[in-house]
Amino acid sequence: MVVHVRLYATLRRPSPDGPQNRLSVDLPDGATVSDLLARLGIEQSADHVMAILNHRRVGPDHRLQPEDELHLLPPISGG
Amino acid sequence: MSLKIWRANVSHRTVVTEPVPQSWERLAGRALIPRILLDEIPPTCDPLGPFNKLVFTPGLLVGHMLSSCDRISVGGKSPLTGGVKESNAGGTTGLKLVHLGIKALIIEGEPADEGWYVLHLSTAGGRFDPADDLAGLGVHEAAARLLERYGKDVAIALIGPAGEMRMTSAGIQNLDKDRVPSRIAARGGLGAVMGTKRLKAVVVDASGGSAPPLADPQLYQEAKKRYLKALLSHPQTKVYTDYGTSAVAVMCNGFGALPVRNFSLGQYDALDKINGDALRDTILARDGEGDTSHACMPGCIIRSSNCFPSPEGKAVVSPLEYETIGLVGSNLDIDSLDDIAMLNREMNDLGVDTIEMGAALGVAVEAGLMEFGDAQRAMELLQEVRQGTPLGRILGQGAATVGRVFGVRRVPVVKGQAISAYDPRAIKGTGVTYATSPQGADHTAGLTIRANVDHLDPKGQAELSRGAQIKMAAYDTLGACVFSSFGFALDLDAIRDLLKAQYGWDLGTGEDILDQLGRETLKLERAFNQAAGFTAADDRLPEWMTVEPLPPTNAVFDVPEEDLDGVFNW
Ligand code: SF4
Repeated sequence: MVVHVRLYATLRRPSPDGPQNRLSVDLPDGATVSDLLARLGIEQSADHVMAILNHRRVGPDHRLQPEDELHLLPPISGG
Repeated sequence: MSLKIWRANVSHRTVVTEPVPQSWERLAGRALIPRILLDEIPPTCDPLGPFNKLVFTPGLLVGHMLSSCDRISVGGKSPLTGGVKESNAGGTTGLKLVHLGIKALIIEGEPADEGWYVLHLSTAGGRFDPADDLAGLGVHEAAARLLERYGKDVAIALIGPAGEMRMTSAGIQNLDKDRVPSRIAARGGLGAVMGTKRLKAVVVDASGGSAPPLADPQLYQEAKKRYLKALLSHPQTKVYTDYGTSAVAVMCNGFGALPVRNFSLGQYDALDKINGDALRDTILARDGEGDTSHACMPGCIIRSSNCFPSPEGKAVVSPLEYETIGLVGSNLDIDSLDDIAMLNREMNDLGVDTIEMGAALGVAVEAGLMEFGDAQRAMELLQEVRQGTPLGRILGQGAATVGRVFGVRRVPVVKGQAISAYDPRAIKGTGVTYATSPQGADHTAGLTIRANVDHLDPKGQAELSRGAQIKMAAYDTLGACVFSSFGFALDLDAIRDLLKAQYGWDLGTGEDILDQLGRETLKLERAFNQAAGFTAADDRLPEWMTVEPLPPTNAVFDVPEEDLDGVFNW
């Protein structure tokens, strides 16, 4: 299945055309948020990344569905 | 040298120093303000009348250039909410007041004449200098003249035209470490209170002064080292250094809680143009005076502030923060950082709170005074404020007044004060804070966005808000910037040791101390508000937010009233 990912701030990836912030990732059916983070090489602590799906925060064990659009961002505490 | 109370009387133009009353000794910053108000002013007094007082008090940790711990609390009875008000700011005012040995500066009385004055404080004492030549000047020009007059090393707290005109959106600007007058004690209309005392500025010349002696210098150094190490090791510190508060925009948008088009939507389709990533990329792409990581006070290693440059590389505004991006950007559907920065600079110069003015302009759109997205018209409306036209004076009173005058129902305020950039329908814990904080709607009184909960579920939000409110009241009492908590959270006992090393106090564990300070502060604030006439009916969000669904989550604010009324039953 394919899921779509938006990366923000420090999680954006450097590329020759400037920071890259949109990815589509092919994952095995039944993959979790944790599997996705492992694939992207993002450190999995709650201090490093927050995942938001359909306006709710989701944890590492959340099972992804095909075509999900996930936002990954540093879990900052406000402004 | 022990700290003293300095009392400036504008009726007689005298400044006297007094010992600190025993019951004030353990208090400072936010906690000391309601104590002073309860002890010294009639709670039902007119906030713009002769009996209100304006208090400047640095927090307990202030004075030693400990990273991010030199904030100044300013307070009084708020002309915007009618209740207790503490508004704090970075910059250099707190540090310099402590270097003069000032625990609290209390400004009181009724001006004897119509002149404008500068209150000048130094080791020689305090005096009032005539300052009619500064009347009507914007904050930038006034600060430049004051620096010329009093030297480059002074701290300055000053008001702009809005404060002079007693507008309730007016704050008090403080110089940052680079002498830019942009660290505003913004909320609750304290600039108007300063205007009633006919003070254009307080100038603090701390030359010849010094940090108060430490009870245990060795323990201080050791605790400082632990705190700094923890702060540097926290992953959030780096995010704030690189992106500042603007990084929170995408989180808020992700939760569907961004203020968009006068709080009618929770997600903004043009956010990519004005979010933290766009801000950082723009600053980096423009050479010149722009800076992605700037410290508002000496010694801050987080450096969450920034300086936003024009396309030509000239400094426009420092800092451009998330709250302004939310209230002046998405809330007005203004999707250009250059436009937001221009409006921010203008609001700074007028000396108004960008949250209050952004919300007031959002309501003004519904009133037909401008269109969404029209930055030029917003700028024209700010000129009305500057000129003090009838329309400008209405806008300058803030969102609640604009709503009342023009018959708009969708007005985002609690206790008369504008809601900041987290829509409470989609971040319900923060909604509980807005509703119940003695300060009126204010995210800095207890933000819950980081908590690992379902923000749309009304259950458990009251407890979440209570914890956040206690913690924030404690940090505001310490004079510690909220972002210092990344370091302290990893080593709460560093707070215990710092206080012990500074004052010789033994107050229990770091956790106990935060809990005690926070609860004591909230208790005093609520006691003042109660005496001023507040009831449970004031601890509510605007009714329309309980019935009008917020797209895309279509949430309404549905935390039960019993939960709101139970927040402080601890
Ligand atoms: S973290 Fe930011 S707001 Fe806090 S003290 Fe440092 S520069 Fe100022």
